[in-house]
Amino acid sequence: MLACVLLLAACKEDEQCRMERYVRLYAGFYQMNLNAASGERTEGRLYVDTLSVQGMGLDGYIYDRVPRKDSVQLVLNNQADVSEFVLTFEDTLRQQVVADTLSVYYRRTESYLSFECGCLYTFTLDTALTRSTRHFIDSIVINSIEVNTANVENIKIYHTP
Amino acid sequence: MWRILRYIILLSAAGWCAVLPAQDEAEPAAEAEEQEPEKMPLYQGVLVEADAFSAVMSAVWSDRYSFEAGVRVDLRDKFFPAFEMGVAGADRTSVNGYGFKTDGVFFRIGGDYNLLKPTPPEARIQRYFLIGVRYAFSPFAYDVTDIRVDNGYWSDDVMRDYLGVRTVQHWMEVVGGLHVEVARNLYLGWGVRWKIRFGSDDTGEVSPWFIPGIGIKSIGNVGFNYTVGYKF
Repeated sequence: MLACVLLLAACKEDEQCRMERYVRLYAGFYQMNLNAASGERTEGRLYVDTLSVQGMGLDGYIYDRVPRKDSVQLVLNNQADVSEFVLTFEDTLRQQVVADTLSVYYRRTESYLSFECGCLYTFTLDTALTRSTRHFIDSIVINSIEVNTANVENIKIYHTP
Repeated sequence: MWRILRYIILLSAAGWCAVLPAQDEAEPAAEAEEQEPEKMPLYQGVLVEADAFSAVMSAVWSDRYSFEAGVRVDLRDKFFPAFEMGVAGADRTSVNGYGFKTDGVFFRIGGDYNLLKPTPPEARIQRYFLIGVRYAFSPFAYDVTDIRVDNGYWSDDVMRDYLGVRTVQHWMEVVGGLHVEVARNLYLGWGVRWKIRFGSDDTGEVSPWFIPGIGIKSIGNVGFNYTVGYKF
């Protein structure tokens, strides 16, 4: 009984949040390669020479001149239904710099996790497109509409060399 | 803290000391009962008890409290229909600065069975080793405040308050413990409770951190009582 008393008296709640709270939109870069022999086009992973990403209208960078990127993780604005990003592609060999705007439209869901973890937003993608500019990006395909704590590629960004 | 623990230990020891002589003294009476079986009247009284353990722990805890009491009807010293109720609450600020506040009541209804052989009425000391079950529920409202929603890169964090969230929580308890008459009609007892909550929280639901009658939801599945009671 004494052990019980001491055990209960010693019980202290753990306030560490042990739930996954990292929510990002995962985007991968792809290029369509033409097989000269067969004439077929096949999808291949694209490594961008040097990449910068920033939110439209913001000064800070999410990626700042990062070399050889084949994917990015983008944080969506949970206080708006659209997030716009400026993606700057730099070819250091050819000394070319081009930029495209990526607009992502979505529905937001606020979820309370726990007293320890607070709450987070998850998103359901509606549309992803490049608006008015197509300097580097040819097309965008939504691969998985649910943006949550799962590490799943949500959109594919295509480029034709 | 140590003073309170010493107090609990002394109370515990008092309970055990009362049991040991009780066994020696009550045995001849029990044997006599075996030799001359006599039908015991159904109604043997009502035991009214208050929990000293939760009261003491409420003084130890800085952020929560709980007080409870109950009645048991003694039917032939074997069956004990029971009703218990209490008040409990919490006012907590987490290390993250999140706030939780509630005050509520809880109710339990069920019954116990005495594993010991009934002692005859003329025995000096009564004792019961009871096991039983309870259905319990608590209707209460709570506030969860100052929840910070991270919007990291895009803007400042947003604060959320969830005020007056209402719920009714249900659970069952398996209980067991010893109750001993330490003076005429005055009982001391200890008991352990295993609490099993019904249902689970829906995803995204603003669920309570503390449930009156259970305690902190994440660790409150075992309870302990040290009761002081009087039998009428």
